[in-house]
Amino acid sequence: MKNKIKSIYILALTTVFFGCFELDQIDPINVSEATFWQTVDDLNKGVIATYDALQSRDMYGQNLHILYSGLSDEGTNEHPFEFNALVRFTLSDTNAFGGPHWASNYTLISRAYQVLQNEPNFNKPEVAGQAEFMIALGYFNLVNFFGENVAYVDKVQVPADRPFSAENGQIYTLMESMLISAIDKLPLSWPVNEYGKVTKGAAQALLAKHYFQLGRYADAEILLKAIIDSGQYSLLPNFADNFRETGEVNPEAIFVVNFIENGPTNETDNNRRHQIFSVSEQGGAFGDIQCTNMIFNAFVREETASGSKDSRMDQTIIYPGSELTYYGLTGDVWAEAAPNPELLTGFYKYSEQEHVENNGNGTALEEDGGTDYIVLRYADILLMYAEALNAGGNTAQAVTYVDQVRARSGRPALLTAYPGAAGSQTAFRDQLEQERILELSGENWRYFDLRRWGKYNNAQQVEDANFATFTDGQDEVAGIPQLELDTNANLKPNQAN
Amino acid sequence: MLLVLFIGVQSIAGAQTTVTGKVVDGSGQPLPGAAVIEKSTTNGTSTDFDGAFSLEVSNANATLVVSYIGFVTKEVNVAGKTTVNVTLEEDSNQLDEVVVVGYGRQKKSSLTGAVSIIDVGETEKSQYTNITDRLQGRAAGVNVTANGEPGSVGDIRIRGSAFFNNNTPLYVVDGVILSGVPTIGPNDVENIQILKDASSAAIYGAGGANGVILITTKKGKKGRLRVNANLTTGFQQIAEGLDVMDAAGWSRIVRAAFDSPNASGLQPADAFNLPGVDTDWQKAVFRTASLQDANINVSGGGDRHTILFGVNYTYQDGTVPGPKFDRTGIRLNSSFDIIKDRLTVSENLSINRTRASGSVDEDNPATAGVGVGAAIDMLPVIPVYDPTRLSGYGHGDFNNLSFTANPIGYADLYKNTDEGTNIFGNLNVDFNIIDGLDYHFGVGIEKTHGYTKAYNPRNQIRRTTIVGSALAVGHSESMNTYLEHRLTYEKTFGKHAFSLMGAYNELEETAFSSGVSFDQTLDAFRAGLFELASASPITTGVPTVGSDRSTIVTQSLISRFTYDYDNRYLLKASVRRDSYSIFLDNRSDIFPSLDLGWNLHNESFFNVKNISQLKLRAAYGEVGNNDADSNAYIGVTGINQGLGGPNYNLGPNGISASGATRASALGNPSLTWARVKQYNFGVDLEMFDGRLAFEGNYYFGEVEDLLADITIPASAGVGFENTIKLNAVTNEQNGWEAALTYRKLKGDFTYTLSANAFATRTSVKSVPAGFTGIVGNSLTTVGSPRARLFLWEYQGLYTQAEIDALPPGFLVDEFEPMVGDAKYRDVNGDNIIDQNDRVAYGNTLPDVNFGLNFSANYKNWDFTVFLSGLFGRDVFNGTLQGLHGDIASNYPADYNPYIDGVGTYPRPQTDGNHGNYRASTLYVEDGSFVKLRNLQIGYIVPWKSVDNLRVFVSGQNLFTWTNFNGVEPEFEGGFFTAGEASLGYPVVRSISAGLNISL
Repeated sequence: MKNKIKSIYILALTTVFFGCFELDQIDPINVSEATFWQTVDDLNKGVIATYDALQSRDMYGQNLHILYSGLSDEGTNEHPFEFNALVRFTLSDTNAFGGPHWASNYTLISRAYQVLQNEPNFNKPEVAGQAEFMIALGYFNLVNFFGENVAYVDKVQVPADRPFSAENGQIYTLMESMLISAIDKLPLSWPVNEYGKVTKGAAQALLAKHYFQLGRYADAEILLKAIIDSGQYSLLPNFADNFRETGEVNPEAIFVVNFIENGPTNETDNNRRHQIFSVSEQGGAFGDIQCTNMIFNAFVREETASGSKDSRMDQTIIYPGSELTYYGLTGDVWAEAAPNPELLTGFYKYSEQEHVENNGNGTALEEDGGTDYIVLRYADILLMYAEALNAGGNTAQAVTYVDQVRARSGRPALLTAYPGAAGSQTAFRDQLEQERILELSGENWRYFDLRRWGKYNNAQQVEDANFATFTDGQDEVAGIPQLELDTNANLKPNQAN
Repeated sequence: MLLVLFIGVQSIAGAQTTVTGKVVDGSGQPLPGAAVIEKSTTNGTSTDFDGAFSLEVSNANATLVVSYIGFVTKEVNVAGKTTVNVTLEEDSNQLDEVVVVGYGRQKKSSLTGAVSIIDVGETEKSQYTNITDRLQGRAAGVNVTANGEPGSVGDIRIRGSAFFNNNTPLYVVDGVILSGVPTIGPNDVENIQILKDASSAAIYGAGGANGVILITTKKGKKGRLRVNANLTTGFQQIAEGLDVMDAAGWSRIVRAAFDSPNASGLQPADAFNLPGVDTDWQKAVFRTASLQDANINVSGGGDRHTILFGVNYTYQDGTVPGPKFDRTGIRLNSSFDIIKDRLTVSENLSINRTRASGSVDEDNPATAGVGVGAAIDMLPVIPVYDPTRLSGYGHGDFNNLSFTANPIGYADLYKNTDEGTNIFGNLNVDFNIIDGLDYHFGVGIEKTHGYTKAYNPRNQIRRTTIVGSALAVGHSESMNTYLEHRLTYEKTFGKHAFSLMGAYNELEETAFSSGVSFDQTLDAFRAGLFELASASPITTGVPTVGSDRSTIVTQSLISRFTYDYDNRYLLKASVRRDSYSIFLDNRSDIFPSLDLGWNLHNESFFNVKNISQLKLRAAYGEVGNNDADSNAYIGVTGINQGLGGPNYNLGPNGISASGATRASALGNPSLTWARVKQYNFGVDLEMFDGRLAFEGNYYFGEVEDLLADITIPASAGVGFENTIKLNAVTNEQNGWEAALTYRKLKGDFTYTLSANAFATRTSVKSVPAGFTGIVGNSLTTVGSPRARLFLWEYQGLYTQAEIDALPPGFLVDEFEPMVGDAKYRDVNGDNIIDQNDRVAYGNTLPDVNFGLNFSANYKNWDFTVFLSGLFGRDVFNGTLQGLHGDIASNYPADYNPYIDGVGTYPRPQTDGNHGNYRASTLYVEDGSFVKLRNLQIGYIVPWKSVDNLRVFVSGQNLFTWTNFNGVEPEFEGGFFTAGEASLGYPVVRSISAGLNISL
């Protein structure tokens, strides 16, 4: 009997355990995309994510600088690694640079379209305008690198999408319409705690850049004039203050990518440019990109012509004899370890000097990289306006704007130093090249300048020996990443594949 | 009537008609629980725990039928005696062996699918510290790729890999479905059955597609108390290093690489000058490591209970500095008959604690390649210790190019520990409701707890990379709960035997984790204190904190019907319906099976001398596989936000601004299980009274709706090489397996020779649109075997005459060839060697895998030798290609590139220019190998005070026969890259001695 009672207890207990668990399980951590976009706050977060894309190592956090400097005649290196194939235009289709550049710009575009497609529910044109700018910026980086027949993406993609190669002109039209719409929607400025967001001026500047690359100087001239006339921007008294963290609103910066020193590394919000760029490999710097003698020579020309050393020289490059130190070491020390006795200079701009010194050991680390990177700078706008005016035949008027930039760095007036500079449209254009090198070297624009001026070809080896292996008709663009061609049958190879 | 009365009176009156006796096995050990039945009656009893019985029989001439599982049933005529002692012989043909088949048991003779029954006794002779590795080579169709890293468990594959990611079989321990690989001590295992074909595994439905490993742990036995102990101690070392260059040899080649025309990079003026250093890195890193293993268990049982408890301990040191592993486990298994023969309650409980330290973190670029790889890569011109460096350890720089982290420095500076506890217990209630109808209830809980800590001081042990001080502490827990209700009805009507089983089970798998880390943002600790409390972050250092939780639920309805006519015609049918919380739109599915079997030897017409068994089997089954189980919420595309998310900083001082965007892992709500539909045909043959046994299977079928990771174009904005899971690929699969055993069990010299061989073929039948099948250096195309190599076809070195004969503009990887450059076949004839000239090449799936075990006994001596390996596999030796082509790593000693007109390999290059050292058929090798896995000699010490005392010496992985020119020919490879060898932690050689003792 007792056994029966025991068994009844035991068997009754088993029925307690019948079916305990639910099949419907909700992710306790992640919100689903389908239910996310509910409030204006969500939309604002969406647009912040587009800025975050710019901080990535594959973008302004590192690679963009390697690509634009390395592929122009201002940057080179003596690595035995793939960096060297990059600067000599001998990258294979499966190289390590093209894929990330392609992917990170489409990431930017995707994030922007997520905002753009949800914005109509909230009617926030100033948010839509930022997203439109980001789409144009992504394509600006893509078409100037891979050529204009990249994948045509004009909406948020689903996994099954295999976009087609863009037809000629298709992306240019898209960029233009995005930026015209953005200019209309964006404010002239943001409150100080939102400083860094895209402004009307930034959209105008990017569209002007875009028109410049297409040779549409007259269209650009209107935009550049609008920026200058907006009263929003001015040159900083001190050229060097553009390239270090001042903690203040910079009236010369039209669009910046913000970086933070010692931020959480899992958010990659520091800039690693300073470690990549140096004369040689020491002190935590990699020496992956150093500068060619082209920049050094330009400063020597300036010194010869004007009779005094350009104060921008030491702020732009480190070289034997520079008055500044780089991670606490003089230019001579850096040159000693350089692999090539013919090439003893490196970029000083954005070198994170003060933060490296704060380390107390003169060693560059990733987390030092807190200096904001200025994508669009007012000095560039002034020089571009001069170039546009000159292209339209207003050379005399153009000189004023060049002199504004020169005067800030204490340079004598243009026609004092170079009396013949305004003698002809061509002479002025050639002088502008010199002025842009002095002011803008190491800021990625040389690559675009060469392309715009028809100098992006094998003949440029006069300035940079790397161009000796530039194959005309092929290396004007980088090959579409092989993996992308392997995964998307609708995408066609380009001339470089 | 009178007679009966008379007997009755007699039986009451006296002891003459009561038969007593003892049942023992061949070695005299008592057999408790043996059945003793008077023939042709229902009168019977069973032996007590001393093997003794007492039975009243109907007459003095009665015949006793004595039976015990695993022994030949014996009939004994009482013949007037009152004491009858019976010795049972072990059943060598084991036809009536009962095997676990999932949700029940079945006689081996009535099996109709492909089930391997593992000889656990033989596996216990191998010294691997986990049960999975011990299965290597033990069963046809079961392959284990072990590696020598302390504490790691090998990859086990049943009938090869059918899926892209998850090819691990389902483990069921004591009836409980586990969500991973068991951590139990291998000596706790009583028996193992492996369900190989889809029909056998169909009872496990959506979890069964990779086969099922059913493990039963040791239980106490009725009878007196027993003590068993096994002790082993030994040492291990890396069996094969790779002969590499000394300083002079390395610098000669690397100088030539820089001197060659079109070389990338400039050779610094003072580069590669030998600083009087010539380090033998492998000698500095590889070491002989100790190995210890001990386990002891105590067991016994009374009339209505059995109990076993045990403890085990394993310690394994690393054969490179750093890794260490130990495991301590305890076990308690017991069972109680609440109502004798009616209601049994039993439990199994094991607790294991593992500690692994110094494990190699392959994901961290700062430490990648640490250990074996680093010992091979490191340059001889770099010293182990270098006081001029930041951390005092030698490393590469601009002049000696290596980027490899100093492995000695890594072991000294990186303090990693990984501790885990696994508690696994289950409770079973078995109730016999009425004759033939049984109810079973089971509940199982598996709880794991993990603690990881990784700390490193600020250091530089690698070229250019200075790593800040970091500390990461993480806790993880998982809790799996398993429930099962089962009804079984068995009935025999004359020659018809039926059984019907119905069950319901649920499995809930919950995982939690949390962690805190300072990523390179710490100052040092006070000496020896590596906890968060004593950490001092640098001024702006902020810790990363995180936590995670997920739950997966599976619900299943199961039924099985078997029918056996006269032990001649066999039928089995099962159906299972699974529902799974991971899947959203296609949550439930049904997995059926149907088998037929024919015991030919039981037919009256079958009368072939010496054939004791001949069975033909045919089976069809469907099973599923979830290849997405790492992510509980894979159906949903999430939003990436919060800590570590797409956040930004605004304002001149960088005010945090929170961002949110689509997560890069895109969800797929329509995911469902891949489904294996497989036919299995088999034959079982036993001859010469079971001395010779053969088992063969041939199988074929399709694997439908494979969950494949399909690359999403980066234009979708979710990154480069990002993938999504789709039920997108269908494969065809076929294979065969054969096992042959010969036993000589009589006489002083006995032996068993068993051999198995198997091969599996997979080819792709359909792929989704846009899928190119090119992965790594391999190609998988519709209609071809999977994972063929996809390479340039190497044709030797260019001579001047050949270059002169080339058409103008002929380019190899963008360069005009030079004398001594690699010559590749221009497949498409466009005078340019590029990606379009790759050709599918070779066969990366072995023609045959095999295992061969010979164990012999002569008087007190025993001897075991075990070999396994594979033949007919083409392997791409990417390690060798990497070493040859990389100026930043050392070169193999036999590398002889073309320098100054001499050499057999292509001209050395700093980069891959001229196409030299690109992936080509130059690096395709024969991957066949035979390994001497185990060699053991034992001796039973004749000592009366113990039941058994055996001492042994054992050697593991003593020798490998292979032509493969690398460290380790044994590797599995990826699904799409099955033939691409990489350098991992090689299998280690061990030599040990030990003793087994039973009291």
